[in-house]
Amino acid sequence: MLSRRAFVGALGAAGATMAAGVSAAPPSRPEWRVLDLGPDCILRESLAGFCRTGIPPCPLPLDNHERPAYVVPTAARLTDDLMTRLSRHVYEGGWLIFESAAGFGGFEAQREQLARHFRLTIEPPVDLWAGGVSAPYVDYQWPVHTKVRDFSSVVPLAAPKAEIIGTIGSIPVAARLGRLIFLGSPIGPSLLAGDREAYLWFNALLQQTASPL
Amino acid sequence: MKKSIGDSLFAKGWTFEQGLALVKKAGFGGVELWLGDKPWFQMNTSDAEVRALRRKVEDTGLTVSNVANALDWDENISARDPRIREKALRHVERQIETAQLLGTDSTLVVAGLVTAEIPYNEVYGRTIESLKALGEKAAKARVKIGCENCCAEQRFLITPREFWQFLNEVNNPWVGIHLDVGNIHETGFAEQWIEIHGPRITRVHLKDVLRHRGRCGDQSVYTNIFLGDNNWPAIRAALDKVRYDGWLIAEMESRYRFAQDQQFWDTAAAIDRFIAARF
Repeated sequence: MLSRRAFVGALGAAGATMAAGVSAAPPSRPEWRVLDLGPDCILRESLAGFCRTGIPPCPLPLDNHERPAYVVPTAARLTDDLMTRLSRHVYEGGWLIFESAAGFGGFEAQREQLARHFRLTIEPPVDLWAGGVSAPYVDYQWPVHTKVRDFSSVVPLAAPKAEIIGTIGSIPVAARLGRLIFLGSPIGPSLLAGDREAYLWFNALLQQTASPL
Repeated sequence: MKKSIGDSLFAKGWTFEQGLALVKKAGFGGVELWLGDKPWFQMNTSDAEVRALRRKVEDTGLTVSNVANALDWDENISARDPRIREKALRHVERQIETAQLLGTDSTLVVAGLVTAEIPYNEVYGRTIESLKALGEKAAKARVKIGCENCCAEQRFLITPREFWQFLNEVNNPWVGIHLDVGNIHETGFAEQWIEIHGPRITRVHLKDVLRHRGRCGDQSVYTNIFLGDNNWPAIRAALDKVRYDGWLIAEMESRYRFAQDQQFWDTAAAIDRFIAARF
């Protein structure tokens, strides 16, 4: 049994570590799942890429009771029911990586859904290579500084509330909003192709999800 | 070995029948039909129309050696955009279907296209995945998919061992290599490609190449057989070594400004000498 003195001492120690911004126990990483959207996953290779990192796929429907963290690979238009569940998941403290494939179809629907459910504003897709040679990298600034290949048709962001974490030149293409990570340039195909920096970035993100924001 | 030439070399303004008649008169035994190139053989050409093409070929005394396509450069099975990739898969499937209708057992596909935009590792994985799916259809149809070695233009599978490993990963006996002896340029030797790939060779394209030409010496130039730098005696011997006895299909640039039919006569004569190994 814990004595009164020991209990008070433990509280004090916890208070000190919290004040210092460190948790006493090692942080636990959430269980991640890759949502298999079926035909609504525009690039199946992206799903395969995330699964290649060791994260298991998860069929729909989404079960909000389990509370894992979710990757939504290359989504275009999703059902309102799913978007509602995803937004509830985020607002209840869950992590969500939302990878947009609206550059390959379904842009208008996704723009409306993201605005309604996440207050995230996306701009019309940009074909980076339409004008000829481009510098083919997304510059990520968080959670690590690294470069990952662009995926040709990207979805820029215009979200004053979100923190921009990735840009291509002056185009913001990745952002975080609380525990929502929005990727306007799919990274799953690079994971499937074994791109080192894509792994570096993704692993750093997974580490980050074990830490308090 | 048997001689064939592509209908892609038929001059503008010739009808299919005129081209076939010339192919026959020049001494070829077969014709390679290019899906998506000439008006008579497009994606919307119906099965009945394809059967009519076969009748015309056979009425001329020829055989269809294989079905190539002119569409891969715009719609490749390695494309990032799934809509484009879907189109590519569909035109390769159509090649397989029409090969059956035309009575041949081989197709030509430019599988994988590396560009500044779409990097090598992505193309590699996506091309294998696409070929695995197509290979199942090819096996059912008993039609081979011959992946052409367009090394320089594809910027993909540049060496014969790499191509071999690639086919190992596709792992389907119905997917092989359509070997073009003129496409190797200065990166290797056609005869070594033949040796390495042997039984996996579905068909052979013949043309010659002048290495390191151009004003700055940085370009290779396709040309007619015996006018370039290919080692033809070595190529001929390598085909014997691997016991290749199939179609030799002429595929060169159409560079005759005048007397365009002459290219057919010259090419047929050159292939005859190549087959006879009279160097």
